[in-house]
Amino acid sequence: MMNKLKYIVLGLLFCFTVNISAQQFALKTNGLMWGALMPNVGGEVVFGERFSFDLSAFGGYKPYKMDAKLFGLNPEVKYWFSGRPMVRHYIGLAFLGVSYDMKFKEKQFDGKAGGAGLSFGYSWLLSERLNLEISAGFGAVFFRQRRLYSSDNTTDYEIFSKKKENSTGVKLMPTKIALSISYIIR
Amino acid sequence: MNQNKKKISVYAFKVLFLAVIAFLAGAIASYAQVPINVEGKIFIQTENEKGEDETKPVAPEDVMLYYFDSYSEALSKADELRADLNAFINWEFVQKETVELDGSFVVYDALTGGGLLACGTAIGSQPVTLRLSARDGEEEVRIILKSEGVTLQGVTISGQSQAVGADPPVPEQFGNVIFIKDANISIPSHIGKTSARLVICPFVYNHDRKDTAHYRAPRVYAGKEFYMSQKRHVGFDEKKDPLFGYTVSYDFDEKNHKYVWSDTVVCPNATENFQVLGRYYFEDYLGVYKEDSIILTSRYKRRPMRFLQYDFAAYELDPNEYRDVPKTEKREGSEDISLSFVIGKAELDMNDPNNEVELKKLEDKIYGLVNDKGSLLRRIEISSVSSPDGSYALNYNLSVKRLAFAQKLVKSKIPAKKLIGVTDLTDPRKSARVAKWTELADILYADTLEAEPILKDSLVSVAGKIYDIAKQYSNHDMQSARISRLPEYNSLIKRYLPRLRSMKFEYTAQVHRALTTEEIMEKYNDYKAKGIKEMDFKPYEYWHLFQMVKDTFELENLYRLAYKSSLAYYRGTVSDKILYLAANNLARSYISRDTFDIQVLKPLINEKVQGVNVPRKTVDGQPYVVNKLEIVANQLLMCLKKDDYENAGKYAKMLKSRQNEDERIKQLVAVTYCLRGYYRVTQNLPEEEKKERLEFFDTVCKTSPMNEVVMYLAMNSTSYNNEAINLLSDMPYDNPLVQYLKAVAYGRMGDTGFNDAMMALKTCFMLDSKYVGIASTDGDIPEDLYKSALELYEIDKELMELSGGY
Repeated sequence: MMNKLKYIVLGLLFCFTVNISAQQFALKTNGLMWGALMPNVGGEVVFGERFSFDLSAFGGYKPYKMDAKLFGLNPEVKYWFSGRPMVRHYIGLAFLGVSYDMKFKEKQFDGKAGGAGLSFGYSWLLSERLNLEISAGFGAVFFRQRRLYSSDNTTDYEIFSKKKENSTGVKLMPTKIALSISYIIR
Repeated sequence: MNQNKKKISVYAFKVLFLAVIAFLAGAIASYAQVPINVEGKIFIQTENEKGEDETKPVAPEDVMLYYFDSYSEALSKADELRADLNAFINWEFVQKETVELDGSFVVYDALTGGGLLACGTAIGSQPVTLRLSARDGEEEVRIILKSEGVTLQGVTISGQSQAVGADPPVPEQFGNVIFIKDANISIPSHIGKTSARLVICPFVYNHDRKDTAHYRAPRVYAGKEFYMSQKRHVGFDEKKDPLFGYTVSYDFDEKNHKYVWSDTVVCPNATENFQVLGRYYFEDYLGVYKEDSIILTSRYKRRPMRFLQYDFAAYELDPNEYRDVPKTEKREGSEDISLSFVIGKAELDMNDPNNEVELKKLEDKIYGLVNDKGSLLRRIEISSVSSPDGSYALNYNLSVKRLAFAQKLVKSKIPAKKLIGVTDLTDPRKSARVAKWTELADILYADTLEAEPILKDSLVSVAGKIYDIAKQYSNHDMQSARISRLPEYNSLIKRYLPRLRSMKFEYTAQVHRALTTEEIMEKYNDYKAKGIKEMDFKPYEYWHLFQMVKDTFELENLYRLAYKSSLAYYRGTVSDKILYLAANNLARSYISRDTFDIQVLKPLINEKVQGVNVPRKTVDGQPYVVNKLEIVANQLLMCLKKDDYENAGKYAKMLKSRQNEDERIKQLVAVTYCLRGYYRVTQNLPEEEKKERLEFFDTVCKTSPMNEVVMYLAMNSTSYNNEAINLLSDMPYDNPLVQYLKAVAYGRMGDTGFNDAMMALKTCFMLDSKYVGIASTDGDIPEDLYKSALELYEIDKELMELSGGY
């Protein structure tokens, strides 16, 4: 699954490299995620007078010595009120897709989640090429996971060597929280 | 599965609901009500007797002010008042606010989101509503009610003034140039933003003609973010933005929310009343979101040099230095000879006494041509025209014979050796012709202009008939036959036929000597007698005429003719003597008549060369000067008469190098620089310039006591003001200018000098009422002073009239 995700991300990035010549393009990274020891990088492409598309990828491997692995994507479509993309207020539609495998208080969660929600943000112009952006999104996230206790015999949940999900649901939760710095390449 | 679907739909609904709540509680500003105290003032704007807008605080009895907790209620109450001004009588539980005597008010514990409603009572203005918002109000709230009641200025939001306003200073005007210093343009913080730019388009308005004189370059003040984000646009080229080049990067005073604007405005003239107004536009990424008009300068101007007195005589060139050398020239001329012949023959009619006179005239002319020393006859030609009546062939032959007779006669008067080399048309057949009937018709038509009305119709009628006949018959003889049968032939046509007959004697001679002064004068008188306006004289002839002719009007005309004819050959070197003399004399004539034409001397001044009497040499080594001092000085004088101080400054700069050689030049230069405002000394000037300005100031002060007062007042400082008052106290009381300047000086002392200023101004008006108009637009006379003095003047005038002038 992880391999599939990697190929999807690479494919999307490849698409962006083809389209960059026509649009404003910025590279960005979320400081809050770095704070959570989750390296992340994203790109934002402007299209039209008021719209931009943001795609960020993040991942984490045992941050703060937690037994956790995750990889996710955060696409977002933004509408800029000021009439100039990447300047001042925006409202957006944020999506979230994440694959995770973590242990927390004797429980293990291994699965995938995906969701969407509304997001809001504000972008400050620090210089001609540098922006500081703050944003937050909230929405519904659907998950499918295998939830186990650490004492569980995991083989009981494997049939024909395939892992079986035993837990699904929808949660209302933040789809995005970011304090990002972005650099406009062109 | 169904349960899962139900769960999903419930959750989806919850998400949607929360999204709506988040949207409302998110980045959009909250409208929760917060209590504030609102302080403000209400003004009323009306038109005074001059038709100008006048704003003053409203009286409490003339206005109603209400507060409402919600703005929508304020709006609905406003609608009620529009429908019926007395609607407020039925309002219950509506909070009425107190307005003080000076128009001020305070609303305690108002809520943001609430509304104020103001409406005039007896003055009939439209009600005005204001929404209060949550911003802190540090500035006074201003409400201005207009008596016509359409739009408002200064409608307030949350205790801040709304409109962009300039604090229009009273500018100084020197000649036709207005100097604007430190006009503060206030930007309310809720209008401006860093992602917008303010574009101000100033224009100069002529109050006398009620028209725009010209537009000035716009000024653009851009928010920090505006251009930064624009430059991010792919393909953005700032050079293609027409406004980008006008962006000014002055510091914005954040605390006071203002830009400071200074400018120098050149007006079309110095006499009419100009004011600098403007339109401003706030533009963000989405377009213009606010625009309005703005006053950038006060209509009243200080003109400190208005009363400076100077009278400089024009500068004269020494005529002997500009005497032109006469040259060999070719002369052409002609004489009309009126000889009468025996009818049908080529013999002179000796019974006609006129023939003798004409022959004598011809003889004298020929004698002069052939016997004059230095004169060489080159060509003679005699032509003859006979009248068209009768047969063409007969008339033509007769004309040829008569012409041959005349040629023989003329040649007999000329010695043979003088005829050597002379060209002439000896074949009379080529020089003789018969006039056409249409030529007679042309004469008839021409005469209708001066003919009496009774005769006019006949002339037109006959001319028409002749044209018709000429058109109908191409053969001359047929035409003659038809025309001779016209009823008007004997009574009218025959009388005109002699005018078609003519004989002309033309000649060309080379004259190797200058004409004498008598001959020149004779030639001039000849031109005058014939009414010829375009006189043709050679340069040396003009020179002599300048010395001989005494009438100033005629002289000016001669100067103008000489100037025009020699300007075409202007080379800018030593050979342009008569041009310089004529141009300078013409300029002197204008100056003496207190008029001007700065185009006359302009071609003779090379503005690229600094200084006067700059020596130069021609290619063959002949010396000459560029920018003759007298020419430049006269040009400067004419610029001063025109109040064109900009150009006057250029010429004064040229003369500066010679000011120490000539006291008059020194004064002229000093007066010019002072008229341009170049007398004030400020700390930031270089030492040399400070010294120079002081010198100009001192020089002008020394020209006369009145000028000293004017200069002291022009300094606009307390110490100089006091000095001026001291000087004025020794000057004659009955001089209206003295009284006016006293009013200016005392008026600057504020309240302590107000009474003295008022009395002085009133006395000035009594002595000369023209100062009433001058004071009305003078920035040095405050409005209240002017009004008080005018009131007193009118009372005194009335009393004087009643008492019969005693």
